[in-house]
Formats: sequence, structure tokens, C-alpha cells
Amino acid sequence: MVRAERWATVVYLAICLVLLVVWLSLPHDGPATDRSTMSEAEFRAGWRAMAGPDEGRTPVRVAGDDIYLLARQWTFAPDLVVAPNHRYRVHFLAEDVVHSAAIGGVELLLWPGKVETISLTTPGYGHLPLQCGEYCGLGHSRMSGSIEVAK
Amino acid sequence: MSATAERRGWALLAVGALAVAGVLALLLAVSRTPHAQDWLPWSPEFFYRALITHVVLSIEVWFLACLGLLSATVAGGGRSGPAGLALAVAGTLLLLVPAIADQGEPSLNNYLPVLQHPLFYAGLLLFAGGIGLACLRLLPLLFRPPSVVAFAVACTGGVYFAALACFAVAALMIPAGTGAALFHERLFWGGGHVLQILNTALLLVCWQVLGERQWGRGPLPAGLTRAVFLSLLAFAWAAPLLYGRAEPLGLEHRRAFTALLWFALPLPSLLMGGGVALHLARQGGNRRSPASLALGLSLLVFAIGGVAGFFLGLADTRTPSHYHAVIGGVNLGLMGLFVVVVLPLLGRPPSGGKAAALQFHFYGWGQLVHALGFFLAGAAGVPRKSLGLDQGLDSLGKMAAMGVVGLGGGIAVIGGVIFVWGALRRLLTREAGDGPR
Repeated sequence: MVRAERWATVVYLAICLVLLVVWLSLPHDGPATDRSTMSEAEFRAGWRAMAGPDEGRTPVRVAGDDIYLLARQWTFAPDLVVAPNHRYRVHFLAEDVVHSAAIGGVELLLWPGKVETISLTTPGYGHLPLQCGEYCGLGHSRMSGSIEVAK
Repeated sequence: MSATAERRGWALLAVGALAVAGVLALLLAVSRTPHAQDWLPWSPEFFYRALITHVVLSIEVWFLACLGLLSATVAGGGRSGPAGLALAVAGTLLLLVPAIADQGEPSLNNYLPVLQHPLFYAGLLLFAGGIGLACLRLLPLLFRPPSVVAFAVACTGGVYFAALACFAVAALMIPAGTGAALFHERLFWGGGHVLQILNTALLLVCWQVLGERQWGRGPLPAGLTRAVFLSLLAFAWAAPLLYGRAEPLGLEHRRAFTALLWFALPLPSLLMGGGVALHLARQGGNRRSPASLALGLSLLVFAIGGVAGFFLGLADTRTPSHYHAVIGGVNLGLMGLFVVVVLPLLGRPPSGGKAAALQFHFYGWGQLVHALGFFLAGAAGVPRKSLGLDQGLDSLGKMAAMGVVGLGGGIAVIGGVIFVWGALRRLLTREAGDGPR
């Protein structure tokens, strides 16, 4: 019995040591994203063209392959309607503080003034969830985007 | 100060923090009640200030004062313990001032939400220093422990120092000029995760102590129990190393600390919990004793909270479902520790009877219902940390789930009030052995 307990202890410690080494050595940076070379001015020009004259106050139906989303406390602007099964380049820009964009199983940290870009293919129907995953102030929990997939 | 007086001091700080947290919770409810809120002399932001102070008192102060109490129990004597207690009490009093004065910008960052006010920061520093001072005497016990419990408590104290190291390294590494929200989030992110290892270690200590009382031995063989606590300590002490690899403002840093809990906690919890379950299933005798109830209910609530952790969303109420249940499990273990060990050790045993059992049932089952409601609401898309219209309760399912949250919370509060009232009454009663006041 004592021998069995000793073995159990040794095996337990060995498993924990392996887990510890794996945790310390594993990369935790998540899936790779596109390297954006877009400047803030280019983003803003693209955003204005996409959002139209009412500056995104009503939902915008995206015409081309590029989507521009502004992240600010505590919203992603504008609300979008996108085509199903279509590959888009989604560009994000944080306007005020650091936010993040969790979309399509990937999360991007958004620093004010720095454009981040991700390629993503829309599903056949429904709603594409977009959420801020970085605490950005009291309204952080309600900071989500509205992207509807429709023909 | 005698060892008994010091233990009583820590016990009073721990339960007193819960009592004040309870009063703040009541004020929180009033501040959100139409008409009643007009009678409060505070601003609309008081809700957040009271919420933050409530969280810090009911989690950090309560848990860490219990660690101070355990340190005084296994390594009492000396001057560092009473000095630590004095600092911790002073820190706790300072933490209360900004909320009462309705001052300080609230930050609802994860793990350790703060009020951005000099007195709140000073309170945190004093309290953290006080606990550190009390835990210093535990370090020699890591090498010469007189018992399994002493080693377990010493490891828990060691985990605390790892958390302090993470906070300190983060404070040094985060660049000046970082925005307040991101600064607080990342300052407390790494150390906050290490504190979750500490909370788990506290529960495992409770299981060990209560198991020894109930069955005459711990849930696991002594050697394996030591290994369990050693592994928690090893993971905690490895945590500060991560700052050298992943800078604290990056995404990798956030993910690595999230992964830390996945790697460090399931195996020790499963082993000790499995041991508790096995003993509970085999035990004869009084299954309704406070020790048995605390063991059984803490295991059930903690285990369900652990399983809920596998189904977290990004920002919905499945996250509070997970942490209300796991924290509820730790609370049940600590309630058992007070009722079965601490109060009798201080010469103030609880009266027993129905109230002793009811506090565990109300709190345990209430927390379970509360967490279930949060889980269902989160699965339906209700965002966390939101109120009123922001909750978006636009369907019957969401409203019903949030109703379950309220019902469970109400039941749990009854159990909490019975515990706090009973423990405070006994701790404040003048005993024959007490000195003059």
C-alpha cells in the first residue's frame, strides 16, 4: 500500500512537471493574422466611402471586398450587412482606447491609430458575432458589433 | 498579542469583511430600486463604487484574511503575525473610505476591480503588505512541516508571494501613459490568475482539515496530498517567469495566464475532490454533520463551477456562472472551517442545531441555482457586468434565466446571513478568558 502511494505520488509529480514545462514553452499568441500596412488616413478614407453620407448611422450594405470598422467606447461602427459565403478583408481601427476585436475565432488587439486587418469568409446565413475582448471601460461588456449576413 | 487573540483578530476581519460586503450589496440593490434610490445621498456612480468595494471585501479580504487566520493557526506566535493583522485591518478600513465618500473613478477590470482613488490604492497596498507579513512565518514550514495541514497552508502562503511578485513585475513593466482601463486590467491579470490558484489551495486546505475531523484522515494519502500542494506552488512560482516571455500588454500574455489555470488546477482539484467524494460515499455515521455538509456541498458546487468553465463565452454571463460557483465552493469550505474548527478553537463553538445545517443548505443550493441562471442567461446571449436596458432582456427565456439568477442569489444570501450573523455573534461575545477591553 505504501509502495503504491509512493508510485502514485511520483507519477502525479511527473505529470505536473510535464504540464508545467508544456505551459511555459507553448506559444500562446493564437492564430496568425494578416499584417496590415494600411495607414490611418487610408482607413478613414475607406471608412467614409463605405459608411456613406450619413456616416454609418444606419446599417451599411458592403459593396466591395473590404470592410472598415471603427472601434470606440463602446461600439463597433457601422452596423453591417454582408454577403453570404464571401471572402472579405476586414480592417479595424481603435479611435479612443485599446480595444480588441474577437471575430471568426480570431482576436486582434486594437491600438489607437494602428490599423489591423483580417481575412474572413462569411457564413451562409445568420449573424457574425463581433465582440470586444479587452477590458476598455465600464461599458466594455456591451461592446459588440452588428454584422448581418444576407443576400 | 497572544496567538489566540491574533486568530480571533483574523477571524473578525474575515467575517467582518463579509458583513460589510453584505451591507454594500443591500445598498447596491437600493441604489437600483426606483424611488428608493432618491433617498440615498450618493451619485448614480455609487452603484459601481459599492459594487467594486463589495467584490474586494467579499473575495479578496475574506479569502486572504482566512489565509492570515490559517497562518496564525499553524505558525502562531512571533511579531510578524500581529503586525500583519494591524496592517490588514488598517488597509481594509482605507478601502471603505472612497465608496462611503462616493469618490474615485470605478474600473471594473477583471480579478481586482479598483476605485481610482489614492486611499483605495493605499488600502490595497497596506492590506497586501499585512497578509505578506503574516505569511512570512509560513516559509520555514515548507521545509520542516509538522503536519500535512501545516505544509498545505505554507504552500498556500507561498502562492500568495507569487501573486505579489506578478503584481510587482507587471507594475514595473507596464509603460507609463498606458490608459487606465488597460493598465488596471493588465496590472492585475497575471497576479489575479495566481490568486485563483490560491483560492483553490484554500479550498483544498479546508477539505484536508474537515476530512481529518470527519474521517480521522485527509481525502488522499499524506504523500500525495503534499504533492498536490507542491504542484500548485510550483505553477504559482513559475508564473512570474512568463513576464520575461510575453510582455504584459500583449495578447499572448493574456492567453498564457488563462492557460495557466487550465494546466495548474484541474488535476489537483480532481484528485482531492475524488478523494472527498470517495470518503463521503463510504462514510457511515452522521452524514448531516456540519463537516460532512461543508465537504459535500463545497465539492458539488465547486465541481459544477469547474465544468461550467469549459463552456465560457467571451463576455456573456456564463463567465459569472463559472466563478460564482467555484467561489461559492471555496466559501462553503471556509464556512465549514469556521463552524467546525475555528470557532471551537477560539472557545466559541457554534450552538449546532438546525441553523448550523441550514446555512450550508441555503448557501450551497442557492449558489447552484444562481450559477445555473447565469449559465442559461449567458447561453441565451445576456452580456455580463451589465444592468437594466443594457442586459437586452428581449425574450422570455432571457428574462426567466435572470429570474432564476435572482431567486438563487436570494436563497444564497439567507445562508450567508445565517453564517455571518452566527459567527460574528460568537466572535464578539465576551468570553471568560478574554482580557479587559
